[in-house]
Amino acid sequence: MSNEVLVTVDDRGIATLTLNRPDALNAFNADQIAGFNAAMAQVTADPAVRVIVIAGSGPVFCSGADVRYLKWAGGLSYEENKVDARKYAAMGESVYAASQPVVARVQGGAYGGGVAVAAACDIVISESSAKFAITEARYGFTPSLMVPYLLGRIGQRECRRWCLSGETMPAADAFRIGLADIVVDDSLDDKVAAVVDSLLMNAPVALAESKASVGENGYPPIDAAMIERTLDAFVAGRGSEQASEGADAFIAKRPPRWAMEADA
Amino acid sequence: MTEKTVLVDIDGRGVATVTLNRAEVHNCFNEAVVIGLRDCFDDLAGRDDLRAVVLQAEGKSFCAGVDLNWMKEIGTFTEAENVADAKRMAGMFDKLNTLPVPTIAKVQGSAFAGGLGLIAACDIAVAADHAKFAVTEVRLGLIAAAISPYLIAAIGAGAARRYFQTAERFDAAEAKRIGLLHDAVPAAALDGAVDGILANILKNAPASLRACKRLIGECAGPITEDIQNDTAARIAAIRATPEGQEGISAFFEKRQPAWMAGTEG
Repeated sequence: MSNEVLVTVDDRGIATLTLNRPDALNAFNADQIAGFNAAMAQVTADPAVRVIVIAGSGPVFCSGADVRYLKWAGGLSYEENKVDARKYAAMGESVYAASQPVVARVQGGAYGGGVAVAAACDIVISESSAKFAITEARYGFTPSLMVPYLLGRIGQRECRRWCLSGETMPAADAFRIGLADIVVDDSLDDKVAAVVDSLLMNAPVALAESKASVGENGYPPIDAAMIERTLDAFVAGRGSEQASEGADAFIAKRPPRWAMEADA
Repeated sequence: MTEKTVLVDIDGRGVATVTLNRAEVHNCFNEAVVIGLRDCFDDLAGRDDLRAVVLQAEGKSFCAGVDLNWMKEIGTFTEAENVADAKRMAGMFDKLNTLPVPTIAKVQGSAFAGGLGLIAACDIAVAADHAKFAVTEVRLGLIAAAISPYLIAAIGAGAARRYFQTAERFDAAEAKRIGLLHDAVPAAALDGAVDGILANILKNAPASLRACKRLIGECAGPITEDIQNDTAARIAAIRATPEGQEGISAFFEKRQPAWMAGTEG
């Protein structure tokens, strides 16, 4: 088992998945995605697990997809790209579909795919100093896979703004629009522990039924057709010439050719 | 016509600025404005080099909605003409909503009725914090129709139930709270706020933005031609009713409409 994602399950049934590539600010690459999916499969199938906490080691929760991984995926054939993209999409799907409540512990920041994973969680708890940004378009691809979860959390209005502008927002804005549910000035761990304690007071089956009921009746409904549509958009995006330019520019530490310097 | 009612300027960055230019009547829209906007959005939609659109207005008000002089004239129309006019209005909002690039409403003053539709059909909206807003149609015996799909998508059914039915005024802070605006800033900071968002957009890959905007619209539920035709039919029907006629007549006769007698304004 890789150590890209650490898994612990304590005797109260609290499973903690820790993204563990701190040197890369926990950017998702193929190994970490596989590790995450394996860990989610393990803990969601474990009848002893009552709550799942998703955390990141180091200064930042998750900086999104690793640009080198995206570049690699962009070079695949459309079909191979889509097979791989399904694994990326499976992270959000497994969090959203887990019968146990899933809590995101966000320190430092969540960017791109890091926002996607957080958005799919039931409760997002963030440090007040953390930053959020939906940065995909900066690199020439699209935040397609998270759109269903974002629409459910922040609605179309805020989705349009933050997906199109790629602006960085402070945790206070993330809280205001519904991307973060709880923002704390003091100890993040204390708050996560308190929320987990309250979840453990609730009946597991009732929690599972409640979560399913909210998911099934939410708008928009996140069904197979929605997932397929977002996958196609994501695959087309990261296979595009723009995505290739975005990755090259990032690696070469130069602005991509579309970037304009404006006076603001 | 001496002055153009809709001005368009496209700068070297590919940012189009569309300006409502009827300040003397609070930028309310008549047939010429609706056609002007529709044709302008049509033209912009066809430009491959376009990166963003800013919709702004001249003068004190952003937009006071439909010109009631025009609305009065519609009262003399045949049913077919009435419906055709309502469909043209719905089509204009659709073209704004589906412009392929990010759109920003730069709201320098108050907006009422159809003016809120223009704001809601833009992707991003920033206003001067002194601006006031209201969904005023029911005061005139009419309903918010063509703008409803966009406004409800922005503010949600909960806020729509209140403001569509009370027609009460609300301030920019409340408009931000319910989702009509993304930001409300002091008037002197409005240019800077919009420029800041534009600067972010111009760092992003154009094809990504177009794909992203299209996907959000599809996932959130597209505003189909059926919906547009339905809203057009509803406004066409209600403005031909005695109540609709009474509301417009009362406005021009500067008196309270019949249903308001005995109430406090």
